[in-house]
Amino acid sequence: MADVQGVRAEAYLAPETLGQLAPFELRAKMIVEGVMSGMHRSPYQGMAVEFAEYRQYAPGDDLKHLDWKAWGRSDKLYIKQYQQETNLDIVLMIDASASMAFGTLPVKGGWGGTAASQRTGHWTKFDHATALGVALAYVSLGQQDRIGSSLFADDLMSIVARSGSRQQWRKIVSSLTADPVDRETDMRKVTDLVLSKVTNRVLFVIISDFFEDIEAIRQSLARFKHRRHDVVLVQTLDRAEMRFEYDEPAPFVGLENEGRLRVDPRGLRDGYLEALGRHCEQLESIATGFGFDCIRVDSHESVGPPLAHVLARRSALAARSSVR
Amino acid sequence: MTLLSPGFLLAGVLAVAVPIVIFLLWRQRRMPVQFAAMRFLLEAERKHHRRLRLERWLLLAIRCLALVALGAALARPILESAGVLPGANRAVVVMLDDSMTASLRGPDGTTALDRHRDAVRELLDGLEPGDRVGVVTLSRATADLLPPSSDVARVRRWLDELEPRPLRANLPDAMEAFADAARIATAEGFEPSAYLLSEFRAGSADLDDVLPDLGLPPSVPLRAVSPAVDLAANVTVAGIDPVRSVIVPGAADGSGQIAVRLVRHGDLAASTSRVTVEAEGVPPLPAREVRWAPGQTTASVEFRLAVDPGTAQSIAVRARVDDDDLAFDDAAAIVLEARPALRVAILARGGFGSARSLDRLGAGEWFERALMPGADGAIEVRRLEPAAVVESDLRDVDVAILPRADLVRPDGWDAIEAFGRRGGVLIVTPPDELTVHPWGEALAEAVAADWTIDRATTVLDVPVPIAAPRVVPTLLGMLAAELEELAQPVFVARLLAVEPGPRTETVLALDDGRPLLVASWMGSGRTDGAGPRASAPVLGTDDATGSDGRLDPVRPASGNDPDDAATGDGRGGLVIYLAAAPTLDWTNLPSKPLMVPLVQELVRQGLGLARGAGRLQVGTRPRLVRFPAAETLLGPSRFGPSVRPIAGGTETGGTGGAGASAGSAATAGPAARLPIGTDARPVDPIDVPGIHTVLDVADRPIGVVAVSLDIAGGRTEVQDAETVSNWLGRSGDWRTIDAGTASEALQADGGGSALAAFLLVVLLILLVAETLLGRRFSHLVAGRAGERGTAVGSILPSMSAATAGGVRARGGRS
Repeated sequence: MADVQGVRAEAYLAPETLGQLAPFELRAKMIVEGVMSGMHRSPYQGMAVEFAEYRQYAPGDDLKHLDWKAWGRSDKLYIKQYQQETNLDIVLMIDASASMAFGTLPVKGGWGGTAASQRTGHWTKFDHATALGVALAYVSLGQQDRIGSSLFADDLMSIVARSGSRQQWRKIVSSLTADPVDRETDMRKVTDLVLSKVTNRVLFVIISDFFEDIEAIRQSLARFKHRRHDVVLVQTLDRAEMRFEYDEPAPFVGLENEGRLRVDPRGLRDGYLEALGRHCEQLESIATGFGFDCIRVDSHESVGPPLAHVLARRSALAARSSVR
Repeated sequence: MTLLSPGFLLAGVLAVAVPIVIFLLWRQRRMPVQFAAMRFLLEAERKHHRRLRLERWLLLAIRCLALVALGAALARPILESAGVLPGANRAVVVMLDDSMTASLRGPDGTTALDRHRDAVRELLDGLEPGDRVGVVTLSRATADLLPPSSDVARVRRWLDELEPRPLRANLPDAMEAFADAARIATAEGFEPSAYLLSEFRAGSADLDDVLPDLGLPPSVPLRAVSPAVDLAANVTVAGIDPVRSVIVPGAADGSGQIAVRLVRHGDLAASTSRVTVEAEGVPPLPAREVRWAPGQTTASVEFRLAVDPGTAQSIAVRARVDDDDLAFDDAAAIVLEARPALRVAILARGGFGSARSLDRLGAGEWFERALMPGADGAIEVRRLEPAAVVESDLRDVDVAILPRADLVRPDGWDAIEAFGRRGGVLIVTPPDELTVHPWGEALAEAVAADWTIDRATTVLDVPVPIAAPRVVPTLLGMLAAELEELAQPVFVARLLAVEPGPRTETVLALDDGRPLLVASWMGSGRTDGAGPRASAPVLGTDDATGSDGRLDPVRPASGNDPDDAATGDGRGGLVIYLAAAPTLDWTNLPSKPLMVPLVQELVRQGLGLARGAGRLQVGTRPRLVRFPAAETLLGPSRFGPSVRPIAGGTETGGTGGAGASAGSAATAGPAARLPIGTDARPVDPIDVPGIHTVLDVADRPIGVVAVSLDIAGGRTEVQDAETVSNWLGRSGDWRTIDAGTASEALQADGGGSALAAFLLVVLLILLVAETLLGRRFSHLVAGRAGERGTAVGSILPSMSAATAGGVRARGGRS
């Protein structure tokens, strides 16, 4: 796929392109194809499940690993041994709070369009998060991982139990086909609810803007750590939030009931960016302190790099825990 | 504090609402912005709330203050001088043109002086308590000087009574007066300023006048109104020129003939002037018309006065033209003296009769024959013994001819001196029989003429002819047409040379340049000022003659006392010296045709110059030497010598009527009395033209004199504004203003301008502050598009890396 007809594969991953694709399936496949096509340049090569060697069958081996074709050809029983044969459990946690409905990237009217773009005409952070989530689910299912998902705000809005079935991806897509709610985020409550449904070790991929009290986030991540889960924090921000390129004085209205504030953006820009930067640094510091990954995503940029990052993280985690 | 234009301040205060309204509308009309990261915005707002609000209100306050300052500056506030602006008190000197041209009436019927007076009143209204004001009139700068004082009411009263004067403007003197007043005001801590109100017509601003350098610092405001631009038609009676100033009725010598000279100024379109002449005791003369061609500026109309034979009195003559825009110079007057005959005394020895041959006739005989060629009886000749002459012998003599000065005794010289003081004419020739002439000193002492006579006769090797006169002399004006031809055959073989002085008129000269016939006012040779004619004018020199080379008895002579120079009365007697004795041993003159007309004209014109003209000029203090008993100068409310004294003796009722004076402005009202001082001059300058009567101590009339205008003051031509400005610029940095804005100029020159300037500086500072603070508070530097990435990146380094397309894993196991 790479460089076919002179078009870079990453071009498929651009939000401008994804925003014109209404069906999640199509959007996810395009993301995956884009990611996979760029793998040969990716520093995260080798993440696929690879055949390692044959060995003689021994009583007690699981018959499902028996190579029946080799037995047919040579009449001998061999067991296929893989370098990575232990699948992961992955849970996507996607923030659907009101702040995720923010977006400033205009979306051109295409032959479908997302619900967000149809309503606001902009590519929102939630659009970006769900696009990333379904793409990750698609790839993970292709690697025989079990994956589940949940939408949350101040509560769990929907949840799809982990599974590696062929229908799982459509379930996840169906559950993510939703709109953000007019509510704030409550990470501690949501964390408790999610962890109550998980018994084994799971890789949690939390896609959110993390616009919440930093102490609440710290407490939430501490619980994940306590339960020995691994977490990847994908902080999704809109470029307008990152740069605050407003010029004219205007009343600003918060999406999570923060109220209304008359602001001279030029006068407040430095203070705002300072506060936002401090919050992001604290988030990264907490995540690093727990050994978690934290990446920041600009919703105006391609979803490819963060997807590749998560997959690399998944690969590293699987290799560490299941080589035998 | 006073506001000159309070509307501007009100507008400025109201304009303050503009930025406030804009500020409020700007807030109200903005569409709200939905924003997700509101928590960080609120955090920043909480942290920077005070600073942002301070910036916002500070900017709004600066903008409002700038508008108020602008309005206040435009309102031109004036602070009360007392204790607010030290040294801000002003000393305003108004230089007001009240000269002849100030009486010009405009289309609305008001005179230029009326308009200037209104401007001065506005100036007075604009003065602040503590300011001083003074007035200098251009016509009488020294006499009508109101030194700057705080008595504004006095100035108002004085203004109310001020009327145009028939005088010529004297701007140099007015400027000197202002400069003195300015220096005094400065020394007393006041800020002087001058406002020159004049139309600057040619009559009131002679661009040939040399203006003094005021020598004032540039900070002293000098303001002059714009010159007039509207044409004004003015016909001036420039003068009345009699053929004979001393009339002998019935004589065929031109007696009674006069020429009225007219000069036209301003509008030179084709027009007609009607000239009338009236003379006391003379039948009315029909009026005559002058048709002016376009561009014509001068004209002359001749009249003949039919004086009854036997008349012996002074005859006042007045000529008038139709009224025009300038009334002062519509008339002129002279005084002629009528008498039955001219009395000539020949102070010579020797017998009469025909027994002697022509070559043995003495000078006296030749003079006698020259004076009695006809039978009209106009000249009576008597012979006096020179060695025995006394004052009483010359009391009724008009002209004395002295061919034998060597015989005159000291008493005789005293008599001659007294004779000259009465206005007599003395004709002196050297005694023909002498070679050495010691009498010259005695003559010089008696007449004090402005010349020096040799002590020895000069015998010429070759007889020298008389040169054709370059300019026809005043004394021989009647011979102008024939003088060259008459003089041509005359030769001189011997003469007692004379060295003429600067005030001597050389009437005739020889071909080799030696003066032959000279004339001078008695006393003109004295330099100590003791004599009556110590500063008598020059006869025959350029500065005493008109442009045509003739003596103009009215024109002042530069370098001399203008008062004396302006008057024939001040001149007193006339002394004429013929360097060659009229005998055939000295010259062939007695036998040539020139002799008779020459002697006749010397007698008639000499007497006319010495006594008959009697013309004074306004604005002067002439010495009335012909009237030693004069105590009062009365006039000009009468026309003629008859006077009716009134009780109390302070005023004299005039006969009034037509022609009571030369100027219409002086035709009404009682006659003014002008006392004569011990120096034989009026105590004040004569400021009214016309016929004035000289009264003795008992108020009895002892003579009349005619006072004329300075006709140059009646020139109504407008002058180019730039030329006038350059001319004024020689004295200082004059700036032109409109007469109607004099008051505003006063305010602008006063403390108001300083305060307005201060407010403008404040405004400038506010604008600069607004610009700088507005730029700083708007955070444009940080907000520029090209710099934003860097600015944001410096705050969120990790974020900028992510937005660049990269992903930074912070996980410890990545």
